Amino acid sequence: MNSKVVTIVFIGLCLLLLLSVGGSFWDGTFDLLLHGSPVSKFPETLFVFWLGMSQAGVLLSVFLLIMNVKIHRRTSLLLELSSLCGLLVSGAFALFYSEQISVNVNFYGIGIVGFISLLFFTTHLASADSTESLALCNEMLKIRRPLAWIILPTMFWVDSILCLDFASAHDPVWQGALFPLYVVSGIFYLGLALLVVLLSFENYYNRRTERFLMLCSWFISVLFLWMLLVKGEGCISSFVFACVVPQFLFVKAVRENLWSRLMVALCILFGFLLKCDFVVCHRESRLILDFKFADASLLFAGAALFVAAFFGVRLLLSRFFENDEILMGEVNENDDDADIEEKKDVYCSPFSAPEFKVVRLPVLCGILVGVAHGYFTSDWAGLVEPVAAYVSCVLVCLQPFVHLGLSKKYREGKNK
Amino acid sequence: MSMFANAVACLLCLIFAFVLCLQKGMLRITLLMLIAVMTSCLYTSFAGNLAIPALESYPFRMVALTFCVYTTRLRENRRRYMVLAQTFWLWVELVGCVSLLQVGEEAPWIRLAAIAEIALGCCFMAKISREIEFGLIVLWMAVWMFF
Repeated sequence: MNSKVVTIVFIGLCLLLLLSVGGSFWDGTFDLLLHGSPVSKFPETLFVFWLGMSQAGVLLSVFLLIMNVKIHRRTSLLLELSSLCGLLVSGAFALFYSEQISVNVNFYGIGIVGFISLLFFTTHLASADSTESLALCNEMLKIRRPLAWIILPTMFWVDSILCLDFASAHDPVWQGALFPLYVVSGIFYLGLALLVVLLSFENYYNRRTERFLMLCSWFISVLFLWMLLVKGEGCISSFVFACVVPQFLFVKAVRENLWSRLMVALCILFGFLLKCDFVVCHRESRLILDFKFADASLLFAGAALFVAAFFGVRLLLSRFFENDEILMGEVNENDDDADIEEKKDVYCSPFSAPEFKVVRLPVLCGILVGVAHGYFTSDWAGLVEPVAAYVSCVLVCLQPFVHLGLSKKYREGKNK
Repeated sequence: MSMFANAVACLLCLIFAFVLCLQKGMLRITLLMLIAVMTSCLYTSFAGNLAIPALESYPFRMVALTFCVYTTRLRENRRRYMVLAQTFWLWVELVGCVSLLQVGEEAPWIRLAAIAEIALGCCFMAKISREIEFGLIVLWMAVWMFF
């Protein structure tokens, strides 16, 4: 990681924060910053934006793992860590501006997703730590994909329910089957843009991610146009930032320059922020047209907190990130992921795959607990799946320790 | 949508899947998928009334059916991708059903249950022969047309 650049970025963000706080004194919006206001919806916009960020990293990491897309361990660790830091920032906004945030959020669902994301990240760290017990490493490696199989549907479920609840309680315009699809695909796209930004700090360039980003931008464009056609509403400025600007990546000069690449990825993030603002405030480009220094202060405060948390943890855990499979510096097209060895898939008959053997009992227990929860609380939509996923993930994570404990006992018995 | 429009949509999905099977390379497959999504959206807007809430996700249901049919032609990890494609379809349908319930309309729960059952059945399949492939496509078409 380029610590010098990270420090410059962090100091830059802090200076911008100070400048905008000073500006808020000048335009008389400082009170909004301290106490909030029922009129100002920007804290809510930022809460929604960071909530989206908190899902993006893990969703992308889990999806790529399930789809067998080979990425470096460091790349997926960065994604997972970014999710946790996003959750921290959204939690901070929810805490400080609880009165302004009127979004009906299933906090338990989000909390469960956060917890299982943390478990996923921790198992990834443990499987990466080759200095510790090799047996534990191997056991942890075995449960990564089963965990991914549990986390992916949970995230889809929680996000969909969140969107449907938001639409029914907040704005009936968004009510319908399209909004959850739109949001989940947007979160996925956001994860890719975030990945490009994070990899830039690592002096690392993965052309596959960039290609994937370009291809996804087309699908997001079609989704946006369909939304416009069906609902008659859409944020044009967010479309320009998030869907039109990424097309510049077709130009080789833009694609191969670190700064232009970074600018395109940041434009996508800004476009997503504009989209969140549009959904919350129902006004096109309110953030730009109705600019307030208090809003800018909140924006920079969130970004600074994210940068501090993310790179702080990244520095602390650098030995896990920078392990034996590291690949520093720019890589050319031919070398893309060339150091990852391909494993040939072996045919497994139904229900006999090693992954299935790991998940069968935990998932069964999880489903039983979920159903019992649904039966006793009569809340079948909100928490049944997250509770089932929570129990399943905890049980899956306990398995390596049980296996290791049993094998140790067996060895001791044999020695006696 | 009328039965005829549904049948045409199903035919379109089969054509998309067939053309997708002929392609090689990430860029060409993605371009074709994009064309499939765009055509599905255009078809839905011309053939149906967009004011009907059930038609909001119709193009994505078409895309899901295309994916399902396409996975029968895969050579590696076919069962896994088949289940994934059906799970995607299930998710689109589930979200559609819940949103229809929210606006006070009747949701097609039988379709949802049928897709779930086929997806579950696919998990049990050891070898997917040509006959089973054909049977699955017929089942998906039946779910599309009659439920």
